[in-house]
Amino acid sequence: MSQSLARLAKVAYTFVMMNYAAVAGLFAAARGRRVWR
Amino acid sequence: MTLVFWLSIAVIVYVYVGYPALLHVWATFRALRPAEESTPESSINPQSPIHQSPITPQSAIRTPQCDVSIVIAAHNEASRLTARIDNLLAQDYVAGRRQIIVVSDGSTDDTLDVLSRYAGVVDVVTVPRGGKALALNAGVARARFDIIVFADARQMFAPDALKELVASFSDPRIGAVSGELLLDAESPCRRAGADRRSIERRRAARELASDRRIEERRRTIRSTIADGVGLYWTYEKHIRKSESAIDSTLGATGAIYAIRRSLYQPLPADTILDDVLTPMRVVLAGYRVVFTERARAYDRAAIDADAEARRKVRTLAGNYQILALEPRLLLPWRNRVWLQYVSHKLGRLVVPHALLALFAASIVLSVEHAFYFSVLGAQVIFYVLAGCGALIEYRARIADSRYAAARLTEALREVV
Repeated sequence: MSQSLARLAKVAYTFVMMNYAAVAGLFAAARGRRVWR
Repeated sequence: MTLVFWLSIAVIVYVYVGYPALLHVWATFRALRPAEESTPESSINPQSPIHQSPITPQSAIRTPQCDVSIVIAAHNEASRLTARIDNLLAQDYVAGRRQIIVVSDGSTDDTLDVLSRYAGVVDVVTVPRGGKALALNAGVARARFDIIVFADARQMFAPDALKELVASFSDPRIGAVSGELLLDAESPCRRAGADRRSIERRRAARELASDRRIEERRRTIRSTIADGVGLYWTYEKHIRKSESAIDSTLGATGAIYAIRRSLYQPLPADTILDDVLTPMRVVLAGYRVVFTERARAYDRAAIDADAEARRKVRTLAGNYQILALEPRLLLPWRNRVWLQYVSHKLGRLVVPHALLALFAASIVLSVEHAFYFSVLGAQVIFYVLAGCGALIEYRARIADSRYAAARLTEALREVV
C-alpha cells in the first residue's frame, strides 16, 4: 500500500473511530463512569 | 427515505465542511471590522451579574507579567513530575510572580517523595483520591494569585508559554485563555523541539534492537498513525482559531489554559471535561475565551488507535455530561455562542447517527436510482478504506510486540 493511500486509510479510520466514540461516549456518560485523564 | 438520505447528508456536510467554512468567512469579516466593533462587548450580557460585580475592574490586568498560580493535578505521576516542574521553573517568567501548586490526588507511588525535593518551590496539596476535578478545586483553593494556569503532568511548556498565555488578560473582557498543544506528529521540526529525550530514547532502543527491519517498519507505521491524529488536531485547531476570532472557543486545551480566579467555579466531582466546562462557564458569565497559538505546550500524539479511541470516548462522554451540568448552553438567549456550540459540539454527537441513517437510506434507495447506488458504493469504499486503516494499526501492534520480544532477547543475552 502506498504511503498516500495508507494515510488516507488512516484518516478514514480516524473518522470512523471518532464517530464510534460519539456513540460509545453516550453509553459511557449514561453509565456515569468516572474517568481520570 | 429520500428525506432521511438528504437530511443525513446535510448534517454531515454542514458539521464537517459547512460550519468550518462559515466560521472562516465569519472570522474574516470580523477581522475586517474596526477594532472597537470587533470586540464582543456588545454581545456580553449587561445584565450578567458578573459584569455588575466589582470583579470587572479588578480583572483589568494590564501588566505583561502578572502574578500567576499554576495548578497541576497529579495521580501517580512520580516519573513525570521532575521534568514537569523543572520545565515550569525554567519558564521565561519572573520567579517571584509565579506559584506552582501540585495536587497529589491520592497518589500511591513516589509522587510525594519527588515533590518533597521541591520544598519551598512548589506548594504541595494532598487530597484523598477523588478525581481530577476535585484535585483542581483543591489546587485553586490554594492559589494566591488572580490568574490560574492549568497544566498537566505529562506535557511540557515552551519557554515563553506562560508569558504568552497571560498576555491576553490585558483585555478585561477576556476571562480565559487557551494555549496550543502541539503533537509531535505535526511537523519534524516541532517534533525535534518537543521531545528530544524521547527521540534519544528511541535512538538508543534502535541500537539495542537486533532486528532493524522490524524497527524501521514499526517507525514508519507509527508515523502514519500519528499523522492521522495530527491531521485531525490541525483541523480542530483551525476551527478553534476561527471561533476565538469571532468570540470564544468552545473549550480550552487541558494541557495549557488560564482563567481569572474570580471566574472559576468549583467543578462537580465527576466532571470529565474540566477544560470545556470551566471555559463555557466563563462564556456564560459574559467573558470571552480566546485561543492563542503563541502559548505552546508539547505532547506526543497517541500512537495507537486504542489510546486515541479511549481519549475520544472520554471526550464525547464529557460533551454529553456538560449538557447535563450546564443546560443553559442549549438556550440561545443565555449562550451567546449558541450557534457555534450547536454546530461544533452537538453536531459531532449527531453525525454518527446521520452516518448510520445515510447508509441505511442508501441501501434502500440504491435499487431505485443509480445516483443512490453510487453514493452507497462511495460509502462502502470509504468504510473499506477505514478497515485498511484498522489493519495498519493491527500491523503496528504486531510489529510492536516483535520489537519488544527482540529487545527482551537482546537484554537476556546481555545478562547471560
